[in-house]
Amino acid sequence: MNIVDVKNLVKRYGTTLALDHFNMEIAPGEVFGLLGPNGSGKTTAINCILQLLTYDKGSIELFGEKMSPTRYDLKRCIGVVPQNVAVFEELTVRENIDYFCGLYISDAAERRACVNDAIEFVGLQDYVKHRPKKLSGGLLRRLNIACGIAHKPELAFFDEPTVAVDPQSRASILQGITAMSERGTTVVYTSHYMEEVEEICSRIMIMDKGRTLAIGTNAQLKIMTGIGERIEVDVLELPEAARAKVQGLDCVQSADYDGHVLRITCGNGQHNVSDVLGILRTFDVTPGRIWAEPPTLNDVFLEITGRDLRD
Amino acid sequence: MWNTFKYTLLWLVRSPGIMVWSLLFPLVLTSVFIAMFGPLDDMAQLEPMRVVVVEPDDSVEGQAFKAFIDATSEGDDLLLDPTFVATADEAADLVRKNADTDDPYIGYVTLEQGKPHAYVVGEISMGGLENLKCSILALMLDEYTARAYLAEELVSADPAALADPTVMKALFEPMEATVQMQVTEGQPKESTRFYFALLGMAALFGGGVGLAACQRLKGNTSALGARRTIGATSHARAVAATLAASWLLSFACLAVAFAYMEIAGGVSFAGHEGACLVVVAAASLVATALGCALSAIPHLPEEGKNGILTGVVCFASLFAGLYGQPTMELADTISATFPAADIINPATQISQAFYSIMYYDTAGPLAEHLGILCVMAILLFLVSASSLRRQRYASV
Ligand SMILES: Nc1ncnc2c1ncn2[C@@H]1O[C@H](COP(=O)(O)OP(=O)(O)O)[C@@H](O)[C@H]1O
Ligand SMILES: [Mg+2]
Repeated sequence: MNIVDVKNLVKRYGTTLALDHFNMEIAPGEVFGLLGPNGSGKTTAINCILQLLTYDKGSIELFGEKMSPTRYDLKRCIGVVPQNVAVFEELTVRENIDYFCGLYISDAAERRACVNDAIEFVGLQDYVKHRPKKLSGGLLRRLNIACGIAHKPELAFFDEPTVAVDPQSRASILQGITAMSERGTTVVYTSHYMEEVEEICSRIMIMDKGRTLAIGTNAQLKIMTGIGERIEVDVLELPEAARAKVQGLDCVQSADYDGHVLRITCGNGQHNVSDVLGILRTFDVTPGRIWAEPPTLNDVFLEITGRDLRD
Repeated sequence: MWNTFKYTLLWLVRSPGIMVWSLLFPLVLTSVFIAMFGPLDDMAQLEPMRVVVVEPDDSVEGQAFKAFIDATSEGDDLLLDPTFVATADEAADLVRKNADTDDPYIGYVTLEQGKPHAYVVGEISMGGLENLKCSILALMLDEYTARAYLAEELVSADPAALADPTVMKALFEPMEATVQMQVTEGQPKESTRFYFALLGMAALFGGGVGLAACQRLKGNTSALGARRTIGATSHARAVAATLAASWLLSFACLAVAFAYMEIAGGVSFAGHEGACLVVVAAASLVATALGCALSAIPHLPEEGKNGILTGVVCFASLFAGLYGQPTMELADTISATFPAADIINPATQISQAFYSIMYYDTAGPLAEHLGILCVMAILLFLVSASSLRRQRYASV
């Protein structure tokens, strides 16, 4: 049984087609990355799943049951960390967490324990009496997270939780999500930061313009797009023949020389660096610095969604 | 549900923007009114006038006068609280002796050569209400003299006429009516109306509480609303808890304004505080419903809705007579021309409900105003029902 099962979801805002026959299946225990440029429909998809938005077509099942706005039993198992910080300005950190936790757990003693756990989980112990206005951006994001997951949901949606967060907070957020996953929570994580998704997600979907473009594990996606490592070699002088020879290698997609650096992009392959260096040696070129980088999800992402600038 | 109630109340109380309008503003305005009009304890029910009456002799005039005094000092709405003495000197003594006590006589009345005369305590020592009482006493005696003279004339012209009961009735009834009218009209001060209209305005400004609370409840108004909407608490309960919290808070604010009026303003509601609190409750219910209905207006940001609320409150208060004599006259003209305008104006209904507690012995008029207020609240809630029930939106 899938925890999330979305089929052929179509959502229009007026004439804007935000989701175009969108499909998503998430198995129990996964950390599922939903990756897409801004405006690709990630938030819309989540809001449809949560029944906050009406949709034009499609079916949504959670925990194997048809989802509807009044399925409070299903909602009780779901935690949501929305994209925009959504807390009461007038309530303190603890009160906010207690309020949102109270939407799921009515027993006061049980709730107190959960709230304490959540405060500890996001590391806000020193700020429980603060109002949100007094928190820095990173702490505010952590509060936003605590409010969403204090009730220990089985399924948690994180919608770009690390936007505008300092690196320390970001690392601790990602760590927390991993910890949740280890405790058995199924996580749906949206982002347009590839590195994060690459770091924590067990499966990744790349979407754009409301459609699924690719889906698979990190490695599968890289193979799928046929992108290999990138190699840079500092050389003071490079005969054109040598560059052409490198370009001619089977594994090499492109080789450019700008007078100082030879930049090579490879397809999937094994011994790319040694092949390149072998050619350089035959032309008596002595390389300076050599630098090779395995393909990143960023490359995959750009390859799939295109390199046009987005807003 | 309790959780939602508790935290709704908490955040509302901590919102300066809300508390300023619902609590501080009415208090400031009340203070201004107190500074302008002074305390209003004079407004209390007119008590019977304590007068000393020199026992009239057994002549026809004497008997008639005695009968007149008795008639005005009996029954529910007695005007005089007479103490009978034998001579004018005794009367003057008694008045003088009691002048410095808590319960002085306003003067004494005696019949001299068949004509009543009133000797009242010097005006300078008396407050506004004592003056009023003296005028009423003088008026009563004048009326008596006029009627007695008329009766005398009638008897000398046609002695048989007095035997006709309808003539007698015609002679004495109008006098009673005249005296009654003088009393009820003279009793409330003009400023009473201002205070009651102020309570109406303060109540309606409490609608800001319901407006803000309902705004934060809707999934399409803010990220916070959206987040609350997807929570696992039944939406109906969340709505009920939110409305209850808003109502309680606006009730509390208005009750504070009311208490301030009574304690600092000296507006005595003379043992009718319970009834007044019922009106306060009904008024804040209407206010909550009004805020709730305004929040149901689609495609309008919260500031716009607040603007409409302020407009509605000021406009409604205008016709409840809050802004002084000229507008009061305008209000009177309008309510005479279009009685319906009064019925649909919550500010008028609220101020009239207070008015009816103060100036009617029967509960009828009060019940009527309370009924109208409740119907108003129900209608406003009905108008907002579809918006309140909504959990899903085409766009957020
Ligand atoms: N309330 C809305 N009204 C109209 N269009 C919207 C609304 N919200 C989102 N959209 C449009 O829907 C598309 C998907 O948006 P969104 O789901 O927010 O993308 P993402 O979360 O991936 O950045 C975008 O083209 C966006 O402009
Ligand atoms: Mg988004």
